[in-house]
Amino acid sequence: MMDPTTLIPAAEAIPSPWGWFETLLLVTFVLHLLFMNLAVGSAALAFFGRLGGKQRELARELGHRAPTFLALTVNLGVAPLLFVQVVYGQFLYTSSVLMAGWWLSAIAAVILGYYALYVHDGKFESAPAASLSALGLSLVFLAYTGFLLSNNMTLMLRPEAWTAYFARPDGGLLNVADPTMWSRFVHIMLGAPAVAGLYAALLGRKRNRPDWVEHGLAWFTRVTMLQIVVGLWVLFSQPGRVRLALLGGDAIATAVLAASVALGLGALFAGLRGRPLPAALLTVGAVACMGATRAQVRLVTLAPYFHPSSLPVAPQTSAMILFLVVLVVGLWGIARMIDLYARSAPDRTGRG
Amino acid sequence: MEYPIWHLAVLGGGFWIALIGTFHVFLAHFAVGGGLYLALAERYARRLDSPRLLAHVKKHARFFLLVTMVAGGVTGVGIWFIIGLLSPQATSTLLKLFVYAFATEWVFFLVEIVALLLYYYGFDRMAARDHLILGWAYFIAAFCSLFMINGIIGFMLTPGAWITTRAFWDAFFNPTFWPQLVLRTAIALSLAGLFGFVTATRIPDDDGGADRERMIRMAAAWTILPLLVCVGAGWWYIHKLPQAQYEMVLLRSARIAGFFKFLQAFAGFAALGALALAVRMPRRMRFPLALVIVLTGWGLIGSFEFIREAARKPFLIYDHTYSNGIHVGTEEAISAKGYLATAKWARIRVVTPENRLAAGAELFQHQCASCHSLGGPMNSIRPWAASLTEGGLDALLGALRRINPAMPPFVGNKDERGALAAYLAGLSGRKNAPAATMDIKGLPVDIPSFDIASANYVLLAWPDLGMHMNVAAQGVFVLRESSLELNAELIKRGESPEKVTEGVTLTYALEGGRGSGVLAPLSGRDWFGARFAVSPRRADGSLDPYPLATVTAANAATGEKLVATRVVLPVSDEVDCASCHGGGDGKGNITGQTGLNILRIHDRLNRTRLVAQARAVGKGKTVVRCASCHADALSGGEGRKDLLGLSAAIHGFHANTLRGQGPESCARCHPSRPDGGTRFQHGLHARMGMDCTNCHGPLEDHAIGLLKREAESGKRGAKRLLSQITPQLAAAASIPPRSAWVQTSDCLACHKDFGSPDPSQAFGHWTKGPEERFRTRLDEMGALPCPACHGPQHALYPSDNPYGAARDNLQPLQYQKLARAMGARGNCIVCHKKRMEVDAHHPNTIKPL
Repeated sequence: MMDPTTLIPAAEAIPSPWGWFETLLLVTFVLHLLFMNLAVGSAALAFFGRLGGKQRELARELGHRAPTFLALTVNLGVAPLLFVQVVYGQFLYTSSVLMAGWWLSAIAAVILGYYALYVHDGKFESAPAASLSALGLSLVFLAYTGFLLSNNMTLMLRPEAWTAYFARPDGGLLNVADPTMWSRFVHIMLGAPAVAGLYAALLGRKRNRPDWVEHGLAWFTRVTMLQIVVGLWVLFSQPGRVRLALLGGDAIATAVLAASVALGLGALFAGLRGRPLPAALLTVGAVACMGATRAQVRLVTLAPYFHPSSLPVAPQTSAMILFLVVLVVGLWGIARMIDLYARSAPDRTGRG
Repeated sequence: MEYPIWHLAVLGGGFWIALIGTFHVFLAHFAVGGGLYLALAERYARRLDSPRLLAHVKKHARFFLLVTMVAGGVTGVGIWFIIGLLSPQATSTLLKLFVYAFATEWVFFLVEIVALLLYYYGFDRMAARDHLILGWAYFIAAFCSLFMINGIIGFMLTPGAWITTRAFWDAFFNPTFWPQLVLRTAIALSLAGLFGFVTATRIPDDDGGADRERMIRMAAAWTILPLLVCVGAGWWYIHKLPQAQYEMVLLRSARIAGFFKFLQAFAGFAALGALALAVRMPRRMRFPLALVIVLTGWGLIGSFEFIREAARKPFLIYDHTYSNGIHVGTEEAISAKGYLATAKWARIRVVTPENRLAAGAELFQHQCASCHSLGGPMNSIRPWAASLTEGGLDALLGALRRINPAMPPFVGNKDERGALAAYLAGLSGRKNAPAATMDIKGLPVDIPSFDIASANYVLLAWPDLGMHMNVAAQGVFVLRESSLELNAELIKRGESPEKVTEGVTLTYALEGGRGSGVLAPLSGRDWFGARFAVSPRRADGSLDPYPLATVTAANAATGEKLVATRVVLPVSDEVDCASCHGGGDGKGNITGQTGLNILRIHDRLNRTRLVAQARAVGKGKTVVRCASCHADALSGGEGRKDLLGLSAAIHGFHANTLRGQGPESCARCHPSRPDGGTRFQHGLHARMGMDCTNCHGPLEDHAIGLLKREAESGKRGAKRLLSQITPQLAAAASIPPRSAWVQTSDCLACHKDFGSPDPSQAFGHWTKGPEERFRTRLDEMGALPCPACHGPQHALYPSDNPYGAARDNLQPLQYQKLARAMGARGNCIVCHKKRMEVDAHHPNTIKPL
C-alpha cells in the first residue's frame, strides 16, 4: 500500500500568517453558508409551499428573493474558496483533480439552477406549472452542487483515499465511501429549510402575516429537531480520533462544538416559543460556531499530515492594506447604497 | 510534479479553458462596459424625459443582470475551477502571490452585485439622482474589478521585474498593465454597444420609432468608436511586450497569425453589423441580426484572448512555470532523476521494456495533455504525431523548446523520451517503411585501352562535385535538382605536354543511352565542360548512383578519334528524410507524403502556407522550390535577402534535433549511410579511416560556421539558432564563419606545403574564396585542377567504389595501370613520355620510389 504522505503536494509560502487567512475563511464561509441556506431554503419552502397549495403568496415572496440570495451566495462563496486555497490549496487542488469531471459540472449546475430560479419567479403568474417545474429543477441542481461541494471538502481531508486515483485518473472519483461526506451533506442541506423558515417567519412579522410566521417557525423547529439526530450522525461518522477531539480531547474543538449545540438548542427553544428574531440571532451564532467546529474538524483530521503553521510566510503588507482599505470602503459603500435604497421605499413594504 | 493529472482524451485541457475562458471574458467585459452604458443611457433617457427610453433602460438592466451576474459571474468561478484542475501548480503560485489582489477584486465584485441588484429592483421606486448614483457605483466597482484582474492576467504574460524582485507591486503593475487596461476597457465599451442592440431593437415604435433609432444609433457609436481605440491600444500593447513575446506575436507563431485574421474579421463584422443595424430596417430582421452581431463580440474578445495566450506559450507564468506546470529551471535536475521517478502522482515510476507504451501514455498526460488532446476539436496531437516517425519524435522531443519556441522542453531521461516517442508514434497506427539495407552487387566495367608507347593524347575527365544530390519530394517540393558539370582536359603527350583546346571536338555519352552531348571550351580555362542532369535511377526505378560516361576527343576537321576515356558521374537521390519525417516507402528517396510532412512543420514554425501550395500543384500552383526563399549558391537560387541560405537553414535547424552525433547524423540526409545504396564517401580519405566530420565537423560545428556568416548580414533566425547550438569540437567562438559552397575546407590546411597531412587541421580552416577550393584550384603551373589528377572529392584515388573498385579509378587504371593519383610513383611518363625530376605541378609530386 502506497504511503499517502508522499502524495501530498509541497506548498508555497503564504503572504500573511495562516491564522489570519483561517479567520477570513471562517467569516466568509459562515456568510456563504447563511446565504446558501436562504437561497436553497427559500426555494425549498416555496416549492413545498406551492405543492401543498396553501402557501402560494409566501412561495411567491420567497421565490422572488431566492435568485438574489443565490447571487450573494455565489459571491460569498468566492471568498472562502479563495482563502481555503491559501491555507489548504495543496489538499483542495488534489481532491478537485481526483473528482475533476464532477467538480467542473458544478459550474453548469449552478448556472442552470440560478436561471431556473429566475424562470420560476418570472413565470410565477403566467405559467404556474412551468414555473413550479423550474423551481423543482433548480432545487435538484443546487442540491447537486452542494453534494459536489461536500464531496470535495471531505475528500481533501483524506489523503489515504487519494490512492484511488491510480486506478481511475479520469477525474471520475467521488468521496461516497466516506460516511462523513453523507452526514455532512445532509446536515448542511437541512440547514437550508430551517434558516429559510426563520426568514419566512421574520417576513411574516414584518408583513403582519401570522400564518407565515407560524409556517416558517414550523419548518425551522421541525427541521432543527431533525438536525439533532443528524448532528449526532455527523459526530459519530467522524473517524475515532476526530470524534475524541470533539468530545473533550481537544479543548477548542470541544468548546466550539458545545457552543454550537447550545446556541442551536437555544434557537430551537426560541422557535418553539414563537419568537423568530431571537431564534434567528441564535441561529446565526450557532452557524458561526458550527463553521468554527468545521474548521477544527479540518485541522484535527489533517493533523497526521499537515498543520498550516508549517507554511512559510512571505509577508505582503502593502497588498494586505490595499485589501483592508478596499474592504472597509466597499462595506461602507454597500451600507450607503442599501440606505439609499431603503429610504426610497414609500411605505417600506415594497417588494424587493 | 506535485499534483495529480486529470487524464483527458478527446476534449483536452485547451478546449475547456477556451470554452469557459472566452465565454467568461465575453460576459465579464460586457459587465464593465455595459455598466457605463446603463448609467449614461439612463441619464440620457431622463434628460429627454422619455418614459419609453426609461423603460428600455430598465429592460436592458434586467437583461444585463441576467447575463452578467448569472452566467458571467458563475463562469468566473468556472475559470478558477478549470485552471485549478488543469494547472494546479501555476494556480497555486498565482493564488499565493495575488491572494490580496483577488480578495480586493472580490470586494469589488460584492459591491457590483449589491449595486446592480439595488439598481434593478430600485428602478421604479428610487429618486432619479439616487438611482443614478447606484448605476455609477456599479460601473466604478466593475471597472475596479477589471483593474485588479488586468494586473494578474498581465503578470502571467509579462511578469517583468517580479522574476528577480518577487515583489507584489512589480508583479501587479507589470510591463503590459496599462496598455492592456486601455485595450480591455475599449473592448468592454464596444461589447456594451453590441449588447445594446439586443434591447434597443425591441423598443416599441409607438412614437414613430424615434426613440428606437436614437438608441440604435447610440449602440452603433458605442460599438464602433471604441474599436478605433482598440487599434491604438493594441499597437501600444504589442510594443510593450518584451522581445521574446513580441517575436512570438509578430513573427513566429503560426497560430497567432490565424487568430489575428480572426480578430480583424470579427472587428470588421462587428463594425459593419453595427452600421447595418443603424440603418432603418424592419424590426423582424433587426432583432435576429442584433443577436448574430452580439456573437461577433464573443469572436472578437475570444481572438484577442487566444492571441494573448498563444503569445505566452509555452508558459503559464512567463519564465516561471511552463504550460504543463513544470517550473522553469528544474528541468535538468528532474531529467537527471527521471520525470516519472520525481513526479509525485506518476502512476508508473520507471520505464521498462514491458511498460514502455503505458509509460509513454502517462508522460503524455503529465507533460502534454494540459494543452493537447487526442483527437478532438482543439490542439489534437494526432496529426503531429502522424507526421513523424518514432525516431523523429524522439529527436523532436529532445529539442522541443529550441525548435518550437511555443513548446516547453520535454523533461525526463532518455528512456522516458523514447517511451513518449513510442507512444505518440503508435497513435497514428501508420507504418513507416524504414530505408532498406541495400544489397550492392558489383557492376562490370570496361577499362578503355591506352598504349603508353604509341598514344599521342591523354584525356582526363572529372565531375565538378564528389556527389550530386537530387533532393526533391515528388510533386511537393524541390530542394535541389542534380545538375552536373562534366569536365575534360585533353593533353598532347610530349616532354612538355600541351593542353589542346582548339581543333578538337569533345563529346560524352552516358551508358545505357541515357544521354550524350558535346563538351564546350570553358572560358578562362584550358579545358572543356558540359552541364546536364543525370538521373540516379534506371528506367525500372532501381538506384544507379555511379553511372559511367564515355568521353571522346576527336579531330574537329576530320572526325578522327584521338582518345577516349571513361568517368563515373556520382549522383544520388538517397535522402533519408523519412527516417524522421515518416512517409517513406523504403526506396530511400523522398516520397510526396514525406514532403508534405516536412512542409507541415515548416508552415507551423515559419508562418508559411507551403502545404496548401503543394496540395494545389497542377491547379495553378507549382511545386515548392526551397531556393526561391533560401538562397543556394550551388544551384544559383537567389532566395530572399532576409532569410537564411538553404545550407544554413537546414543544418542550423537539424543541429537541434540530431545533436551529439557523428557521421550518422550526416547520413540522415546525405547518401553516406554505410548500408545504403550510395555510400558515397569511399575515396582515399575513407580508406584512411576518415569520415564526414573530419573535414566538415559534426553537424553542430558545421552549422555554426554557416550560421555565423548569415548572422553577419542579419538574416532572420541566425542569431537565435546560433544561441541554441552547442558545438562538439571546439568553442563556438573558434569556428570561423563560412559561406556555403563558396568556401570549403582548405586541403592545404592539413596537407601543409603538400606534405604529410595533419588531419586535425581539416575542420575550421576554410578556403578564402572559391578559387582555392579543391574543384577549382590549379596546380602551381596553372595546368591542371586538383580533381583532374586526384579524382573527385570523396572519391580520391585510390577509391573503393561499392559497386566495384575499378569504377572509381578508371583513368589511373587506363593510363598507368595503377589506382593512384595521376603521375604517382614515377608515372610522369603518362603525359611527359619520360620520368621528370622536378616537382613542377606542386611540391611532393615526385616521391622517391
